[in-house]
Amino acid sequence: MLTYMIRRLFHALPVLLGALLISFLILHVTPGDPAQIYAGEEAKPEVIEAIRVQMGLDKPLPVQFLVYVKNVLSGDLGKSYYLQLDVVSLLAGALPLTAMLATISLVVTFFLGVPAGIIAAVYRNKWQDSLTRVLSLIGVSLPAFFGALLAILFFSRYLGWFPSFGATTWKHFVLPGISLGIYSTALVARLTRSSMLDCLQQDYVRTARSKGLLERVAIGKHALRNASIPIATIIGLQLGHLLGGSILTETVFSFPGIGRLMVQSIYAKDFPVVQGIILVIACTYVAANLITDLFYAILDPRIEY
Amino acid sequence: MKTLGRLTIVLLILSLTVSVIGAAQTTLRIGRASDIRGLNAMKIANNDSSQVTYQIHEGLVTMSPAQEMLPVLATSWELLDDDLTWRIYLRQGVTFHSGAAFTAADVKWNFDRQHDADDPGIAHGLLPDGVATVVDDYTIDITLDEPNGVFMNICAAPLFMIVEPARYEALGEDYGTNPSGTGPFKYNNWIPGERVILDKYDGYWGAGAEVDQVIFEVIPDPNARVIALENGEIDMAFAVAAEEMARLEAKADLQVYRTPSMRVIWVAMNTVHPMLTPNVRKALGHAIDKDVIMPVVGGNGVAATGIGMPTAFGFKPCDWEINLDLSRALLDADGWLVGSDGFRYKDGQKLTLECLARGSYVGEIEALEVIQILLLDIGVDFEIQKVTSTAWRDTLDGGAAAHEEDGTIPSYMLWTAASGIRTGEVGYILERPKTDQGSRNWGRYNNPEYDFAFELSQAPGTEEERLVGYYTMADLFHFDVLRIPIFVIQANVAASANVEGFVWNGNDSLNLRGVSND
Repeated sequence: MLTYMIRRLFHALPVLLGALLISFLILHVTPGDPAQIYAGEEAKPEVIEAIRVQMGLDKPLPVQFLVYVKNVLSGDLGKSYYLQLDVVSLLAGALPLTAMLATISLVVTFFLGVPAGIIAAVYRNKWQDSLTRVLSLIGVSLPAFFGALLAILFFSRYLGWFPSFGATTWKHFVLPGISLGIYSTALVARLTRSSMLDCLQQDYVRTARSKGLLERVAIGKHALRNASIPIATIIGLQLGHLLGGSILTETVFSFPGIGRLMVQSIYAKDFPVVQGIILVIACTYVAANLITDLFYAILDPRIEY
Repeated sequence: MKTLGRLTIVLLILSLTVSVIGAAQTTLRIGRASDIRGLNAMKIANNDSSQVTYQIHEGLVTMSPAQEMLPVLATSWELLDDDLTWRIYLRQGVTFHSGAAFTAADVKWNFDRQHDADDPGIAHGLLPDGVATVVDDYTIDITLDEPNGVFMNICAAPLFMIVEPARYEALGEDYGTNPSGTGPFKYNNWIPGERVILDKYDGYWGAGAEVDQVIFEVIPDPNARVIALENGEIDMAFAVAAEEMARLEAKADLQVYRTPSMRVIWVAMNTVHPMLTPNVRKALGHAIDKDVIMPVVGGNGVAATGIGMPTAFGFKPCDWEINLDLSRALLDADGWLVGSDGFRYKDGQKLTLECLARGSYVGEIEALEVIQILLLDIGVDFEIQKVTSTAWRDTLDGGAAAHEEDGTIPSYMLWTAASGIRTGEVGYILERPKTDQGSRNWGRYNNPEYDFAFELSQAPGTEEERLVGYYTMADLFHFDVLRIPIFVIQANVAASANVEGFVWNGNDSLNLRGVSND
């Protein structure tokens, strides 16, 4: 297992490097001059040029990239062009907040989506199944920003239960966390239903029932366990998606996470911050995939590494 | 004994209550769409940052909402006989937030620092070059390299703000983490992406802060901003959607402010593009009817009649009489004849005019869409090309630079832009069409008469003399159709009914002195 983990981490390095390279090229190829944005519209050309030299943007692209990679390897993600603050400190402020949002979303997804899918499968074609399917269809179809605005309107404006913006207290995390988790919950519910239906048809479940096992044991211990591999895959992938998909939710809720920081940085052509966030998201995807793969071995004893 | 014990308890409770009441502070929470970029007033002056740094720092003078110059750190000033030297008399008894006294040496340091050859300040592009000389602790001479009659107006723009030299030298690029100015508020904290907190500065020289603390909250979504105001989570909301204003105004616990800003949106022209001949440009001027456009723009703006605002010094309307027959005749004269599809053609080429637009301002795209429909009446195919700010900038900069270098005609045709007046005079936004602007002259206009008129408007002289320059430029704008002004952006602000003393300054220099929130 340890060897497998080390091998996977080693294989992740080219993935991360590739993500950095692609993001670097895209950022530098798209129109826009960070020096101009930083200097402002009224700045004279010589001022802009001086800033460009300060930012190191006058160097050839390969040199800029190599310098960046070298700095990353020593833990230095550079300084924000736009805010003139260390990227590491910006991420240190924003990432935990988004991570908390993602955690809440995953908890909601797991404890709401999975049971909903199980119920829908067990009560197939009954009202429980119909309700779950309609709600999950709404969940995957509802635009994130619209759901977020509805949540603010209803729970903050009309009921006054939760604040509408910020990230100061635990109450600030509830609405954005649930809003962010709506899509994942709906997706997991549908997948769980589908996977469970498949497993409930299997011979071993029929055998378990024939043996006189309680229905909940047959479903929970036998069917669910075998249905859980695709569910684990989707939940694992959702972690990366939640980090990147938090952009709209964070914007509507004025939540100061990395999603909002990413949007601001893209508009400002703030390369170091954008690349830093991409690196974080890439690392998250790699870690999430690794954890998911390791989890398979727990779910399915036949899998060994 | 029992009575004494009870009395002691009552006195304790009373004193605690009094201390709590006495310690209760008033806070003004303002919700805005964007965060600051930083608090280094020497290097950063975008609107969102200036609104905050302007509470911490001050300039020599400022412009009132009625665009009259008001003394701040300078109490009076005069232009000496050489027409180059401005002698400025400074206010006494002013201190920086560190407690250090403000003197003429600080003004000299700031002026020199702005013009640092290796690392110029943000006001470098606006502030004329010159030499600052300390006459005494409260008098400074600034001798400009060239005569400039609007130097004090330039000082009124929230770009040249006085920072504490000792603090800046100690912190350098990190000055923004602990700024020190002479303003009524001092820095407390900045959580990037969340809020900036300022505290009242008790040592302020004048009638300053009426609240103990100001918090600038970042709420990007306009709907969320309004909800936060209605929830009581903030006391003021900036950039409220125009369609929300009537609803908010009707609420007893809220109030609204509708103020035309000093920022005009216009359609600018590449005057050297082969399709944008003088006749074509004039045809556009006579066809773009603001009366049709403004209902679509709604409460986001008021119709503009010139380059600038009527309240700005030097303003003169340069609009065109709406006359579609004249427009058609001008296009006919240029050989653009109407084809079977209703559009105009010449030598097989369709008269398609492409307009680059960023959509940065509310109502901008909507106004362009109306223009698109209006120009159908004269057979012009007006194409709106929505682009990002960076693409917009790159296209205009690149095309102008190429034309400057080797005469290559820029491919861009029209574009929308907006500029605000921060000096109380329209000169601030009339400089670009000058020949000496080089690649900043995106319109590629080259007219010595215009150049001379601009110099006349900026030269030391009587107001009448300078107005001749300004009015000449306005006439040239009209005759040569350099830009078609569309609308003046309206600032829509909503606030709790408890907020008093707030006045929005059209030049975006937010002034919270005297604003209370009881």
